[in-house]
Amino acid sequence: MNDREYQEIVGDYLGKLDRALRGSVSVVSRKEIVDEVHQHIDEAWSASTGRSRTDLLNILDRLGEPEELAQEYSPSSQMQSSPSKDPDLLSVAAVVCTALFWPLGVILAWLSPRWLVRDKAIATFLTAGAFVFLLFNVLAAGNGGTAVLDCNQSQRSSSCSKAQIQQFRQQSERDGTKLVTCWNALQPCPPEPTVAQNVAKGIIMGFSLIGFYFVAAMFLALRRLPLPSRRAFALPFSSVVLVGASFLFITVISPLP
Amino acid sequence: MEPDASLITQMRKGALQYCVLAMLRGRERYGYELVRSISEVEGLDITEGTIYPLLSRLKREKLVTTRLVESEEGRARRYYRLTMTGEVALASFEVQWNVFSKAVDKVLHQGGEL
Repeated sequence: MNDREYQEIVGDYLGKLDRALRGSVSVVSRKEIVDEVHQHIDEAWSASTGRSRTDLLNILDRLGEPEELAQEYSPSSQMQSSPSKDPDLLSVAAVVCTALFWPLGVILAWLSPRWLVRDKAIATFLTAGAFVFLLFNVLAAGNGGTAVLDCNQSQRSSSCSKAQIQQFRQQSERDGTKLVTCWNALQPCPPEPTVAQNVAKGIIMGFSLIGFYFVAAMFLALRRLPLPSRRAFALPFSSVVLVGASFLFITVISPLP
Repeated sequence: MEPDASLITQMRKGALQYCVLAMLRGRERYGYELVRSISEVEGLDITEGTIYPLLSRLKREKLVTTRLVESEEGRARRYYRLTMTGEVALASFEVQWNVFSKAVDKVLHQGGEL
């Protein structure tokens, strides 16, 4: 068996192993694992007597199918082999708390060995990011976003006094709002948002906030499953997230000024 | 009736990690060397596909540590060594195993007469 054939077969095996490890171990350990298995094949090959194709296939056979080998390496499959229940309970608590009260959920997730650092970072980013984003929006909405100085009060007095404008300007600077002065037909006063609109916006915001935590919790739940069932759930999960994100975009983000 | 296969697998898996730790007692070994020596032990029935993932877990649990050493053939070999935690875990398993296996043997041999 020549060198090129050897490289081809080994490369194929290691490529499959690398792909199968994706998502279940960190990038660093993936590289380390592939390196180690490569090393093993090389060593076993040099030690083999015939150096035939059969020898090589035997070496690979003893390692198992690349997908099976990758499965052995995944922390969730190894977790099952140890009968300790504790980390399991912790991870379940983390998932539930992320949906109900995210700061606690995220802290529990970081304490659990069940997830990769990357997964924990994504969950943290989703929950904390959603909170900051929506908090910012609610604050902006609470300030009114714009302050309207209505100098055309019921068309009776024709303009605001200088002192009035000055005071109003200072006030809006303090609040960080955009100042709109309206006094005639060229600059008509913008309509006040109705109560119904405000309530509707509040409800949508509230729902999207809950939605974010739900998605984060679902994500953690998905990532703690063993690989085969995770693959089965991946498509429905991404569809739900995609639909949710489109809904959020259409209802909340796109109408924002 | 056949004994529950998964139970035997669990027992084997549990004991195996201490066999790997025991192979590293007092000396460093690189992956292939360790795999060869342990797979030559009759009855353990362990393959490469089990040992390497096991080593990776032992490393993650800080029972062993590794370092890369260049071999004469220019290959980088990953050497495994017991950590302090590993030694303690091994010693404690050894004590418990001795007591337990003796007890099981005794009951298996003369259970009816006890």
